[in-house]
Amino acid sequence: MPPIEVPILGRSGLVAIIALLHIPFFVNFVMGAPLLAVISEYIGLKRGDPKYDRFARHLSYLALVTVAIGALGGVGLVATNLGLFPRFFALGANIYFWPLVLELPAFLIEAIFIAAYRYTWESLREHRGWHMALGLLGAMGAWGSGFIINGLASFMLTPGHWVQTKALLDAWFNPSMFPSFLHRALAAFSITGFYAMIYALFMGAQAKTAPERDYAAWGLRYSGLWAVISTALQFVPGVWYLIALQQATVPSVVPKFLGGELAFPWFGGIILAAVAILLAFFLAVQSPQVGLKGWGRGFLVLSVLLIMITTAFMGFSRERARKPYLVYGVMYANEMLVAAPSPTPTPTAVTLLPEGKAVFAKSGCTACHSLGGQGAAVGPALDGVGKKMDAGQLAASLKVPPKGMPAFSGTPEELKALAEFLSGQ
Amino acid sequence: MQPIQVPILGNSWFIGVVALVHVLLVTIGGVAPLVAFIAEQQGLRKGDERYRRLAKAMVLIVLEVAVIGGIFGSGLVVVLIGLFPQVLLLVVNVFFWFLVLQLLAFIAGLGFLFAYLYTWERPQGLHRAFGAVAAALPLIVMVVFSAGSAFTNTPGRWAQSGAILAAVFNPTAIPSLLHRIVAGFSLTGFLIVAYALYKGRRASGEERGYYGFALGYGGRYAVYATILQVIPGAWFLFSLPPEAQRKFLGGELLLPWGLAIVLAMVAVALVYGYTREVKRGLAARGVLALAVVLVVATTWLMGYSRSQARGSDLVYGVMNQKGDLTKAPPAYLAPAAASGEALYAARCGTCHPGLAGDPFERAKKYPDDASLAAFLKDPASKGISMPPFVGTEQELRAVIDYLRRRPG
Repeated sequence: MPPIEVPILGRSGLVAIIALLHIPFFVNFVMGAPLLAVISEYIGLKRGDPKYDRFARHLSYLALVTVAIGALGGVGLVATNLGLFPRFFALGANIYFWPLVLELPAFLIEAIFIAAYRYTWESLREHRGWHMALGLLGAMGAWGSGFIINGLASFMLTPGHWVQTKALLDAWFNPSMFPSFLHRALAAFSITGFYAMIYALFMGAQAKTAPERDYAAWGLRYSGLWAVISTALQFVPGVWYLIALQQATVPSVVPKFLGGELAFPWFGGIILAAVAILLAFFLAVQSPQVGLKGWGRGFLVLSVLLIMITTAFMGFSRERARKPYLVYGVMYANEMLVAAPSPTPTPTAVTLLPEGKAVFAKSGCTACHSLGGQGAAVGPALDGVGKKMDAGQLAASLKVPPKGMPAFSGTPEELKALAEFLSGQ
Repeated sequence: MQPIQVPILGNSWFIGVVALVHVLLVTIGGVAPLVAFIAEQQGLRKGDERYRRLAKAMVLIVLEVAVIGGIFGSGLVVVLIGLFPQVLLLVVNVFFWFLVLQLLAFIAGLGFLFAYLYTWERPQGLHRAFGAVAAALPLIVMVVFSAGSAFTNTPGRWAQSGAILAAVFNPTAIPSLLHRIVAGFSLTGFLIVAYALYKGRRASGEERGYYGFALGYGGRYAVYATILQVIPGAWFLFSLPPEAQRKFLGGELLLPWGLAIVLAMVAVALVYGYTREVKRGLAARGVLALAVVLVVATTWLMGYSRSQARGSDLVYGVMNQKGDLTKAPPAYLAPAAASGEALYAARCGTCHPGLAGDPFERAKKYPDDASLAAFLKDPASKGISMPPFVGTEQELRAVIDYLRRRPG
């Protein structure tokens, strides 16, 4: 099939823009809003404060609108991505078929119960427990679908043991799946908090009476608290995520963040988030009256813009960390598969003295290691290995390998040839 | 890749079940906003609040119907890409920019529907404008999807020319679209009947009057639109290739297709008989519920017949059951002897120009072809994280020639 040509942006640029519009609303907010609504409803019930109830009701309406648009947009989103990266999606859908089928009930639960939660607000007035249970179910659907998709998204950066086993569970529960999910989970609260601040500002602008203004100020302070605390806490899963990437023996990824080509968006994202936290803390949490008016309002809108830029920068860093791969060590960005270990040598080659390069090719080293950009990234790259060890050390290391690597199983001649070949690298 | 096998149902039926739910819901979702908008305009003209109440109820229902339909749509895409990747990839490739258009139409349409709802208490100019746009946008979505679906039955001249307009305006595109839109009016009518029966089951007095009105209103759409289906139906049938026509008119599809027509006639007769008089209709809930079930069965049988009309091909005459292209434009068939331009588009177009910058300008850094070739084969050696070129020397030569030829 002829590839889709995207002028100016390139195919990856178009996907980046779609993702940028999709994630802060249809991932973060859709996960955060229903749960925050239920929590707020619960607090309101415990404290007997009707402001929480009102806040929760409006938040549930925003969640409903977002779910609706997300559900419809999702079809187009999946279809356009499919057009741009057909081979990747065919591979992904093949590996990940049943989890993706599970998405269907998860989305249905999300849509039906968030709608039920919203529409039974008055009719279940006397049964708040049941009402909150509906909201929790809706939130569970959203979190479930997020959990499934996060498995596939994190797999792309750390395919882990799947490279050898090709087992679905190894793909899903890959090395960075849990820290990545926690990172997204906190982002859900953070983004929802910041968006709810916009809602409070809107209520403030509409307010004509003193109680209305009080409600807006209260809402701004409450949303600001969620925004500030959850954004500050992002530090924890962020560090865990970096450690997981480092331990997943993905070489050269973490240095890209800490000082390489991704240092600008990554540190930039952190700095912008810090500024957004400070603005939200002083203008929404500390003095919401100032935040509701004039320049205070301007700065709070700015803080939301900053946090959206942070989301974009962090997403950009996460995706670009894979360069030049689409699935790290497995498929290149242009959907070419990374060369598989060569097939067994021809019969004539066996009778000849073993040649180091051929032994290297047939021994399956590239299932875990890369050499000259060819091969997987489970173990360290072998470029320059000859500078660290000589042929004798290499042979010893191949016979009694480090933890996690299988011992060399060929003849002594083959071992010698392979060690000599590697020492020349 | 290992092919996926769905236990018990089998792959085709698994897709069939998801597709039928999806099509039923989005057919309603595509037309119901228009029905609601028309009802509101009638109400404003006649000064009858019942029309507006029904219209608002319809908008709220259609939001849910559209959402669930959309979720099934995503499910359908996932199931198709997992089970029959080739056909979905082909259709998405051919219709790509139209899919982008419908993505925007989707989101905008729903946004306008919410705006329409939000301004309900002020039914003046802006509100009407929102309603009109919200009614029109889903029809764009329907045009694109209907064209894509009709394409699998009648790819028409696209197979020779590869022209996108030949695929969009394929031989059955317009009759198929009309058939779906009229179905949308009919199904929306049946939905209103079901709504009136369910919500009006315990109503009395003035409330009962409203639900009786809704029953009559929905009943009229159900009856007239379903009868009208004969026209686009016949047009659609006679735009199909002769072999497919024969399947309907006496062949293997006569049974499901004929049964569907009979069921629809029974449903129409029941609705006609029991919705003209409000008292009778609200009392005969069982009969009318049966009519709704019958029309859903009709939709499914018709959808089944439509998909079976392709025979064993996934795209009629173009892609066989195994997903191999049997007849297609040259660009889709032979990857052999790929030109430098084609290789560039496939291998480099993912990132270039876009995020990775202008490759023609970058190529100038390597003035002689040998150094450019060395770089393309091993970009990591220059500290550039770009996929290495994989292919024959001739292909590499072609890419280099292309990079040199086009001015930066």
